Amino acid sequence: MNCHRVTNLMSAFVDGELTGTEMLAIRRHISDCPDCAAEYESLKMTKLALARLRTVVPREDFAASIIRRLDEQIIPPYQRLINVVYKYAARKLSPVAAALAVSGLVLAILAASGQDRILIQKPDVVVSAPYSVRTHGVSLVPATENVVYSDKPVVVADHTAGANLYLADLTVR
Amino acid sequence: MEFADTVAEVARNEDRREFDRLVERYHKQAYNIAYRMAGNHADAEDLTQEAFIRAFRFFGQYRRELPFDSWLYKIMSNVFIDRLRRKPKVKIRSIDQPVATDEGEAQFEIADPSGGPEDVVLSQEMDSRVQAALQNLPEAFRITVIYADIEGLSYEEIAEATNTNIGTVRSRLHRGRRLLRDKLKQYEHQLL
Repeated sequence: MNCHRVTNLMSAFVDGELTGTEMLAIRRHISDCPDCAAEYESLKMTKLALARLRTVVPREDFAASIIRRLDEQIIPPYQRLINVVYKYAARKLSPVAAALAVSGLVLAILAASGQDRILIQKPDVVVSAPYSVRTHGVSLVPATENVVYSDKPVVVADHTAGANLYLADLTVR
Repeated sequence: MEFADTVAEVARNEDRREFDRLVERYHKQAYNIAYRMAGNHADAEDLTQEAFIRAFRFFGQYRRELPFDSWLYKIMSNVFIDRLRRKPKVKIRSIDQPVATDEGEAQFEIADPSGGPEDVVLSQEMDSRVQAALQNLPEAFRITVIYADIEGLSYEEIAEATNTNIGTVRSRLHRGRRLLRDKLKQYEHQLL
């Protein structure tokens, strides 16, 4: 290896981020070349100097002040919907359902606790609850008196066992 | 629309508790990086808050398979570089005189005296000189050097955090270190 190439690779050599062959070639070169050896030492010194910088700590109540700032954050409802859907879509997913969900359709969330709710994205969906939702022809919640009307497909996030997304067919009674 | 609020609220409260715990756990680490990027406490606070606010806004998109700090490194890199680039540049002080820390003493942790050579910390004077040299680096070089030599990230991790490839990381790190080396050469004996 010539000095020019060695110089270019010197930082990576100091970090051990080269192939074994390259590391060996450079080590050999350095043992014979005072200029490159000096370059090696000076870069090593620089890296060490940075590692020896003191850790700067924030004021005592800094974490609390960040947390207070978070309280002030207004996350738009649409962003909240996307965040919630992403969270569920990251686990199990039907790609079609996930894609429809993120396009901003009605999302129903079935919680294991039984506190089921509809999260409404579009204002032209009329909802009353509790509701009855059927997916793939199988009823997921106990049938009740009330129904959901929607002119759009409903994506259901089923939390009762794992987290699954389905496209629901709404039953009009 | 009450139902919508209830669901979002419940989901959000759970997320919120988890996120607050993450703030407690990672804020000091983030602050140290922010300070070394910005060079003063006021900006370090702003940058750190901004990073956590952004992380919070997109917490739903955070895939929990990734460690939180990897994700936070990415956000910090974006926020810090972006914000610092937009700041008007302050006059570069000569580093022959030690830089006074702003608003009185910067707080430092005392290193463990029984540790190895890397546990030795620089004197405040030298610390200021290294910091001043860091300030002179372009932001992308600066964050790369900080991630490599202060945080100890691998080239792969740095590439991920800065949204580039290993070749770019290598180049920025090498050039960054050489710039620092050139500025600090006169203090070599004090650094070893």
